[in-house]
Amino acid sequence: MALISSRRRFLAGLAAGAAAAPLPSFAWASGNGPHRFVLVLLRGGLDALAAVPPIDDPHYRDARGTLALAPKAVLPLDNTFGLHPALAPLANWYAEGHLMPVHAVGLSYRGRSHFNAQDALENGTESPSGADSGWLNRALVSMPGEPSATAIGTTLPLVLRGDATASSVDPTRKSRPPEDFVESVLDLYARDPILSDALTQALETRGQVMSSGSATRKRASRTERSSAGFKAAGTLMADANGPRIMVVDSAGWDTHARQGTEEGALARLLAGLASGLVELRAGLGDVWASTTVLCISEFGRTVRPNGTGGTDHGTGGVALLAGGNVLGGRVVTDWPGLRPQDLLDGRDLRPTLAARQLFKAALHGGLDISDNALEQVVFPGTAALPRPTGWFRS
Amino acid sequence: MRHRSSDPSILAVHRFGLGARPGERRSIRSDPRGWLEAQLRSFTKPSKRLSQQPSHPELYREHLRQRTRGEDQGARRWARTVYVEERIARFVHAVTTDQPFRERWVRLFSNLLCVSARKRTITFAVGAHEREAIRPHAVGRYESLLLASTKHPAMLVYLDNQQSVGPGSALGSAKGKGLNENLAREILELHTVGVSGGYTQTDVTELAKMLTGWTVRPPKEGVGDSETTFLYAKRRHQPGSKTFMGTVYPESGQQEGERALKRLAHHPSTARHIAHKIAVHFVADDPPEPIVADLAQCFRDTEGNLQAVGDSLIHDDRVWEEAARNPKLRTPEEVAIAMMRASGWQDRRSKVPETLISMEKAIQQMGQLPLSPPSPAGWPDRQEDWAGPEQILRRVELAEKTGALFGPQIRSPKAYADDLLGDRLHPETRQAIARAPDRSTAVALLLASPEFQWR
Repeated sequence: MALISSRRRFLAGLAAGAAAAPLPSFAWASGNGPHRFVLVLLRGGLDALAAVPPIDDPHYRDARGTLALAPKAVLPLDNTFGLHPALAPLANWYAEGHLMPVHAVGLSYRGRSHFNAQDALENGTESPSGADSGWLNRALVSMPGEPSATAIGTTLPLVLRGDATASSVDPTRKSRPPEDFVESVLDLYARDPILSDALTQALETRGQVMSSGSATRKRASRTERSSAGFKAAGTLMADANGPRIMVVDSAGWDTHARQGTEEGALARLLAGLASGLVELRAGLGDVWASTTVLCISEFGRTVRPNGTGGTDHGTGGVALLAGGNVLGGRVVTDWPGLRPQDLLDGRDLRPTLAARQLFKAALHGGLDISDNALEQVVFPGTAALPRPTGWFRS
Repeated sequence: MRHRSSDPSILAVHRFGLGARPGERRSIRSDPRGWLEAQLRSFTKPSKRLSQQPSHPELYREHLRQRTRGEDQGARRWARTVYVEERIARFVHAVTTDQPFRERWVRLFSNLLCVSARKRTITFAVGAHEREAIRPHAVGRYESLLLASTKHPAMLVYLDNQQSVGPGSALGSAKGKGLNENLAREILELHTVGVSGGYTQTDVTELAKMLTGWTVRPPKEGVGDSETTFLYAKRRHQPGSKTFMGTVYPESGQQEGERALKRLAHHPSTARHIAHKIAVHFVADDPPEPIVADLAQCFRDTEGNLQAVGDSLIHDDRVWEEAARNPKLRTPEEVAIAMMRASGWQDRRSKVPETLISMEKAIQQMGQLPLSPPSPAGWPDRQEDWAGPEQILRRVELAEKTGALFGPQIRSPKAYADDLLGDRLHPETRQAIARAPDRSTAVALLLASPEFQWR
């Protein structure tokens, strides 16, 4: 009968939307609302040494060669690291203590396949086929109440798939098919839980988007779409009834050729990411204080440039942890160094922190998931990967 | 949960084909297997729209002309126009072809050896890659298909090989030139032996070295279609012998890469990898191991003869039983094609109607911009990749619009539903169609129904 009740909820939502009456939404006292979590998946392999360059590592220039950034252009973070100039809007976050880059982080899976690495990243195990569900879905399962989760886009990424219900939404859409037609289709889908659950979810989420006013115009460029996605994520989450977990996909980070330095293809991607994150924060408003944002890629790239002005698939990467609750303003890393003998297989940044350790810390601090749930439900069998502490204001 | 049918004509047109055109199922009913088998043999020539598309050398010449003009915007606009025309041409072909199984087979390999218009420098060439490298070889030997695809300029540029330079080559000492291993890695991981096919990082690098020099030749003005744009550039090639997957390849220029690719095409892991892809596409998201093993065995026994592999698929009784048991969710592209096929539309005028163009655009809105997969791995082929809530809602929206488009012309929606889906139709769906307030709604419900959304 779960189907019936969720369908009723949807129909109620439709009615509310039709009457143009937004769902009751009240602002939580800042910092006191329930925690929220946004995962930004940078697909393709972010070049960590470009995004957060170890500009004062004595071996940086030698190792990076033609891809080394001009020291003057880099925004200083601490004695070793800086921020790519295209990420300038995030420098303020760092100064506020709301941004914490975590460097030299890597998956336990060590192949250099995008697809396997993304699967391992999203299923939260040591291998691409280690689980059919995603770690954010398992996090959702272990949260009290029935919190919802939504991905921006048409598909549901693996990280959100699993037992708990999750939805996806494209904020560039704002129309809905006629109500009686939808009702007839839902009747047909009563025998088909996959189609019926998906349709019910989508109608609910679209109702939320419409009532929160975060829908954008229909014809939008790729950049506008991406920025609209971040903005919608913020607005949806700012609603008290909105999702507690959101996933934003960002593609195009596989910079094999002519990636550029201070300017160029990668700089444009980074600038897009930064402006997306700024939109996200603007959309969140006061809720930023209780939100955690994690940007991560399936792997980093080769330390040295390849023959075509780009970088090939590597291992260790950088994650950006941000939010009002994060004890940022510092770069967290057990830096492995860039001398030839420091590199993994003589070519990659050596990971010194497992991605799942980072996830544990982020879920514990960002969503209040207990250590017990982390060990039992979200990342079973990872006692050997302890959760780093002291990353969040308590 | 879903209604099963034991009528093989339904699986033939929907699972193996691209969705029934009106009357199609009845016409093949006496011999569905024979209908499929014939499609892998005789080949009626590709539709006019496909064969009218310009060749890669012609397109490349225009691409260079656009670029030398220096107007970035104009060049981009031109590339987009070509790309949209290619998409429309192949959409029309899929909608109208009477060899839908062969077309599905082509698209399976086009996706396996994909290039993507997401890379701006090849937006104009992705259609040419499918037409020139995939279509002529899709029921030939895998070796020929692999070589044709790898050598096609669209692939060489997509995976960055056109700029890869051997460090020890004549050009190698130049500043900023060197090896790019992208193509070599994806050949191993995606096009041949698969990620666990038994290669190392060193093998990737060695294969990349063997492929150095495989690049794109700027076409000369006025040279005809037969001129190839593939170029082996010796001064980029890494000299010396290479050791690849345990075998020493003595220096032999362009032949090194060709030998390596041929060897890979016949590797047992490749047989398995391809067999698995075929089984996932036609049989089930998780196909039974014996079916995959037999397809792989056939691939090995026939040295990668794809026509024979196709025959083996069609004539395996277990394939039909499993296919009937395991539903496959239509991808957005398949949904749009199946809806247009169901409409019975025919390509009779020189101008493609607006409705067909907007139908093709709907594929993108459902999350699958044709010829633009997100990565070299191609589009995914499993239910969970296409059952996202927003996706399903859009299918329903499209069904509603399409029903309004041609529903009014359907005299008896009930008979029409029977013609398309026969005894796969659940009594409740039948009833909903019969009770629909008008023809548009009746057809829209049929197109949105689970029986139609799963193939």
